[in-house]
This record gives sequence, C-alpha cells and structure tokens, in this order.
Amino acid sequence: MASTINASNSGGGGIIQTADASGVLNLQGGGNTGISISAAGVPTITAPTISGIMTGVGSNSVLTNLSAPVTLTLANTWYNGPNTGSIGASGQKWLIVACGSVYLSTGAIYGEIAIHDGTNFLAAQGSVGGNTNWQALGTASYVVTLSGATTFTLKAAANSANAVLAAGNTYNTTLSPTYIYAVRLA
Amino acid sequence: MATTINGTTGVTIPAGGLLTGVGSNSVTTYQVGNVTLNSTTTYFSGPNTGSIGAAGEKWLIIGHGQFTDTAGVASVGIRIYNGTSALSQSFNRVVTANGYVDCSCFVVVTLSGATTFTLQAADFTSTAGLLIADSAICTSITAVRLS
Repeated sequence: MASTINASNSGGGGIIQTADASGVLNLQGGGNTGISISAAGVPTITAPTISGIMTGVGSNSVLTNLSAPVTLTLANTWYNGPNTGSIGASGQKWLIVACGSVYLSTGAIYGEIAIHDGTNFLAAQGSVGGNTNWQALGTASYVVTLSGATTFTLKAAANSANAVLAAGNTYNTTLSPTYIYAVRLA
Repeated sequence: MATTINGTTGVTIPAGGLLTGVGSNSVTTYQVGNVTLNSTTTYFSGPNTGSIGAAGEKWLIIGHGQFTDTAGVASVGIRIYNGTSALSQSFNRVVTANGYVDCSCFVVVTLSGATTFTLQAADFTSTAGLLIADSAICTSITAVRLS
C-alpha cells in the first residue's frame, strides 16, 4: 500500500492519505506487528515493539551517603555534608530529600540539617540529642523546579562546638545515617 | 535515539524518553507563620497540598513538622490528614522549655478523587506548644505524583 504524508501547515496540511481505495492505514515494520487504522478510523494495535522511548525520567536519580564524619568545629555554623553532584537542567522538576544525624561526645546537642542549592536554603529540620553521643536526627525534603544544572548539598549545624555530622551509628556502622538523594520527577 | 519510518529518520527521541513523567505536578508547600497548639486534645492544621489529583492516581505525601514548647517537656506529633482520616503519623519529644524537635511522616496513597492533604500537629502535654515555620522552611508538606 503506498501512502502519502502531508505535514504542511497550509492547504491540506496534517493529512495522512492512503493511495488505494481501502482507506486502511497500516503503520508497521517488516513483521506483522504495528498499528492499523481502519477506514472507519478504528485503531488496532498488534503487539508493536517499541524500544528506547519509555525510559522514565527517574533513571538519573542519585543517592549520596556521607562517607566520613564531619566535625562541626564552630557552634551555629553551617558545614557541608554530602551533595548530589551537579544534576538536571532548566525546567526539570526534582524531589530532594536529606536525612542527617548530629551528635556531641561531651553532652546534649541541638543539631539541624538543611538542603542548600548553592544560594538558598530550601528546607531544614532539627532536633535534640538529649545526652552524650545521642544523635539528633533531621529529615528535610523539597520539590524544586530547576533554573539550570544544580548541586544540592546537605548542610549541618549545631548549637555547641565540635559536634559531629555522623557517617555511622551505634547499631549499624555499615549504613550512613546522613545522606541526600535526588529523584527526577519531570 | 531516532525513530525511523520506512527507513527514513522521522523523529528524534529526547534523552530521557518521550514521557516526561507524571511528577510534573508535584509540589512542596511551606507553613507560613507559627501555629499555636493551645489544646492537648486537638490536631491543628498546618500547610496543605491544595486539592490535587484524581481517582486512581497514586501519590507520595511527605510531611515535616518542627516544634517547640515554651512551658517545658512535651510530647508532640504530626499526621497527614486527607479530610476524613489520618494516613500517617509520627511523634517526638521536646526535652526542655523552648527546645526544638522535629517529626516526619510519609504515605503512598491511591486517590478516590481529588483530595487535599493537610499536615496536622498536636502537643499532647501542654497548651504552650508551637508548630513553627522557622525561616519558613522547617514545616512543610510535599505531594509527589507517582502514577
């Protein structure tokens, strides 16, 4: 069946015509798979093989754990923890989630973690580690539309000097309690 | 990659695929201003998602709450509320007067129709509790459409 595709914006633009009198349009490869549209306009899809299209935007999501403890030398000062690396492009929408754990070896501590985009703080949370070496946990998340490639960083601060942003915890040293992840949504 | 029709390149598929994802209408809403928790038996409303979604859609809802209590030690909690039921909750404890503590909770839900999800907060110990906005970034609710 010979066919004509006219994609012009003028005249008969946008018309897909069949050259024979059947009115049946077949879109298919060399096999028997493909899409048929009857003369009445009813489509029939016969197991088409399509690859490389539905890869999903989430495939370039990333998780970064804190690999070594970070000493928060000065009180009430933000220090960098793990970051996402440069991700995304203008117009993309991402979910950023950060979890962090702060403790002090000499007493109780108030610790806070935040998501920072290099210019602004986007989200923050903090809590108290009520005794020596008790960990203050914070979890923050944010949905952001990017204006360009961006590096998101988990930052941490505490109300006493020499607190520690933890890379391990008491019960399982193989899993970091401090991490940031980015999931592309659109 | 390119898609071909009868051997002729017709369409260039952008990196990442044709489907940009249903997540494009995901959103984070911050709490603006502190919420006074002046009853120990009431959940007070914080930020909400606005009316989102439609029947059959699946969403991830994330809630974060930051608390203090000016009176002293207090048990506090948050929940994600859909207008009828609490779907997820978490609790924590303010350990000193004017101390800070956070709560986070999460739920994946399949909608029966357009729904407004609200982060609600309670202080179960005293009437001096606050759900705080602190720089307007500490208390929030996030909705992420999954399908």
